[in-house]
Amino acid sequence: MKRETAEHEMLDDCTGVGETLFERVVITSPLIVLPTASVTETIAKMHQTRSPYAIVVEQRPKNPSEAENLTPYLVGLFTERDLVRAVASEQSFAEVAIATVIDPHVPTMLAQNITSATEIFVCMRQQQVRYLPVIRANGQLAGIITEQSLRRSLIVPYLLKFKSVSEAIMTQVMCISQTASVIRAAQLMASQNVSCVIATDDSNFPIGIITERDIVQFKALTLDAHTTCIAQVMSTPLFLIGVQDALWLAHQKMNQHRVRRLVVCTSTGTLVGLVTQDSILQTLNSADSQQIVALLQQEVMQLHAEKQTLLKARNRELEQSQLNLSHRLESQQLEQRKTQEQLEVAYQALEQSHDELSKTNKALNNTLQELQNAQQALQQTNIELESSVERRTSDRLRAEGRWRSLLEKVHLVVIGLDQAGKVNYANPFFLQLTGYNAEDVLEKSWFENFVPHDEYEHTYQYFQNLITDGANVNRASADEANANKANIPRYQNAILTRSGSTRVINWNNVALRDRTNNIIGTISIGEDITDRLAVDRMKGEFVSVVSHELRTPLTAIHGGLHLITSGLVASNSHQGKELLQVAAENSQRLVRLVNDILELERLESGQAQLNREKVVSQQITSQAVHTFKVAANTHNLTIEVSDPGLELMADSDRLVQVLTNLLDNAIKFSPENATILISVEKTSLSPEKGEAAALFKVKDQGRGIPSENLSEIFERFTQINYDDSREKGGTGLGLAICYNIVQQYGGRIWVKSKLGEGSCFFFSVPLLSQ
Amino acid sequence: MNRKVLVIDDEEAIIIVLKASLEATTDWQVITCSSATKGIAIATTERPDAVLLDVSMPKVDGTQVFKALQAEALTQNIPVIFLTAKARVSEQQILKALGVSGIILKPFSPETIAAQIKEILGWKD
Repeated sequence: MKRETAEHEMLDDCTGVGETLFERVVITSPLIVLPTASVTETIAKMHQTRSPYAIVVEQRPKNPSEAENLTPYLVGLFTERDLVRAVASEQSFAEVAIATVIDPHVPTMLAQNITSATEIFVCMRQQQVRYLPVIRANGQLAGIITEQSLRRSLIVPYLLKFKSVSEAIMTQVMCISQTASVIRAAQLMASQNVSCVIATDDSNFPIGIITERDIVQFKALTLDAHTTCIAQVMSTPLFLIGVQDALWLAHQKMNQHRVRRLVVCTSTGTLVGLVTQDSILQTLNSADSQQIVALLQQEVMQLHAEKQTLLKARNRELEQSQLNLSHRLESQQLEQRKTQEQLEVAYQALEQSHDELSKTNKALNNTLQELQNAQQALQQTNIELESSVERRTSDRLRAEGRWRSLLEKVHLVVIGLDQAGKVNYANPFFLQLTGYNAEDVLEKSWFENFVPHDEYEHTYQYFQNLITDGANVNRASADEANANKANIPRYQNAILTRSGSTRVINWNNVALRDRTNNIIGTISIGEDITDRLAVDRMKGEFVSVVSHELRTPLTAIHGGLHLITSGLVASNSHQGKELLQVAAENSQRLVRLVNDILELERLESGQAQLNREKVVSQQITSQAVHTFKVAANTHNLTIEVSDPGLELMADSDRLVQVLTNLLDNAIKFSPENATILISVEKTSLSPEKGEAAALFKVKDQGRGIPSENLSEIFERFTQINYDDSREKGGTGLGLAICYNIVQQYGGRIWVKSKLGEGSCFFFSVPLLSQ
Repeated sequence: MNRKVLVIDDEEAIIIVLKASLEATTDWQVITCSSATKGIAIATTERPDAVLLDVSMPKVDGTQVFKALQAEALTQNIPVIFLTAKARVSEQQILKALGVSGIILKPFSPETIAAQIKEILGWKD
């Protein structure tokens, strides 16, 4: 049967949420039997299903057109009480059809009238029935309402918790001795119109209960009601409850033990009464109860609404959470699939590698065997080689020793560089030449530390070429390598000394190789050509100056004479006489110049011999003064001499030459009426030597010499004022000649001068008198 | 054509000989000066057709005079010939690199020096 939902709204809803009253109250699958069923069969079914009733129905098609689709229609009702009455009257109806023993006038209720549980309860009380079949409008059986189903739907837990058993107790209880027969019990239940009797012991203490259901069970077993005593069929133990216990406890016990009544006893076990479904329902049937029920219903509905809201919110959260989880799960599944694919690829690669490794392993085993054989052969060869190497090492060490000794002693610069251009060897001569210590040099970059900045680029490039060319040679054929060796690279560059000065070195550079012919650096052997270059430069300058000094007078002589001799200019003309004068003057100038050059050359080459003889200084000073007496008078100059008359071992002509040169200059550069002072005194050549010497001074009152020119005044062709050579007729070689003569004596020559006040020239020569 | 030539040389003897040589062999007007600084001033005022310039002079030498003439708009187009006793090739190369019209070495020939100058300067007359 289908459940009715449309016409039954939730009016008395106290126990379930969302169920209609119909669904709660009406048992829609009751025990039904056909009218033709025997009483015995009916009792057996009631016993099997523990149903206190059996609805007798007639099965008819709902519509004539649907003959196969049968629906039940109420015929009558057979209850436990009907059976108890039958047993009590000792009727024999075992094989009789059930239709013959039932009352066809059964109170019913229309399904559409089920609107209030209370009304149903009132109806059942008025009809004095415990079972109320429910009929649809078309007469079709819809189900049945029992006291039990009504109690469950009406029970309000809160209400029952406030009521005690004492409010629902039935004190009129039928008792019977446990030894009495079943027939006696059935008769007592039928006569007193009660649904049970209490079995007592000899002391009248309740020990069991006989209910209508027990009678049904008894009849189902077809036992003899006269000979069977109550003790054999009664239900034990008794389900007890206290007078002060809450009705809610009684309700729970009934549900728990599936009984319809509880025995009420005192704490000492004395029987007080019974609590039945009917008595519990009666306590609820009052106006105040209904009000409480209504309030509670409101509260329940409010709580239900809140619960619905919370449930919806929670549902939304859960749905969102589920959505997120789904996304994460999908993402994880995707990653898992990728990882699985990668793992499969890796596994395939691993398998392939394993195969290859197996092959390689086999090959290695073979190779290992070959290597072991080769190792034995090598050990033998090694012994022979060690012997050979020992001999060769000894030879090599001796050779290295010879080379090292040569490099340490040779007066050539030897520098070793690694491939990066860092110094890994510098011989003692290099250190001596430059003033460095070995630690200043080793592991330092040669090009950054020892090559002047302006020469860095091309020297470093040269080094790179040497290294690179060497590398090419390494790859080239042996013939090319030999050809390269034959062409030893040479190079010339300046190097920096510790003092910051430079020395020019002419290098021979060679790339160094290891045993496998790889280039590992360079070794360079160089000659210090600084002094040689300076000499060359001086020679060049000297030639240049001499060339100019010779060509100028020569041009005048040559030109003047040629113009006259060729007739271009008449010799007796004014121009001709002037040309002849020019030629004559320049001839004298040329003679002086040639004489001075030759004299200087003779002195510098050491060819001039000093004829040492005893001479007194006064001889020298007086001879020099005599030479310039006329010149001094011409310029109104006074020459004063202070000479104590020192004896010296000297070449008097040479000392006169020096003094004459100095006196000539003094006269040339002294103004009119000035005084020139010549003095001689004894001195020591130097404080260290302490050697006695004669010190000559020539002091004038001329214009003086600028201090920046004092250091070069004794060099060749040095004249402070170029015009002097024209006006004073000097060659620029006089002081250079003086310097060389004094040097030959082992003496010193120098000058002190102050611009505008005059100059004083000094020279000292050793006395050598002893 | 009456050319005007300026000779600058500190050697008085050279000036005398050179002036005599040019005047004996040409009709040029020969102006002389023994001072470099004075020579620059004369070149500016006289605007000669050529300058014969000694290289080795005291204080201001011939190369400095040449640069001064080149720097001045009035004199920068006047051709300059160096007179020098510097016989070395390297020295002459340095002088030529300055951009002068030519170089004549001392001692020179009095008879041919005018022809030498004409050839250097491309003078036909």
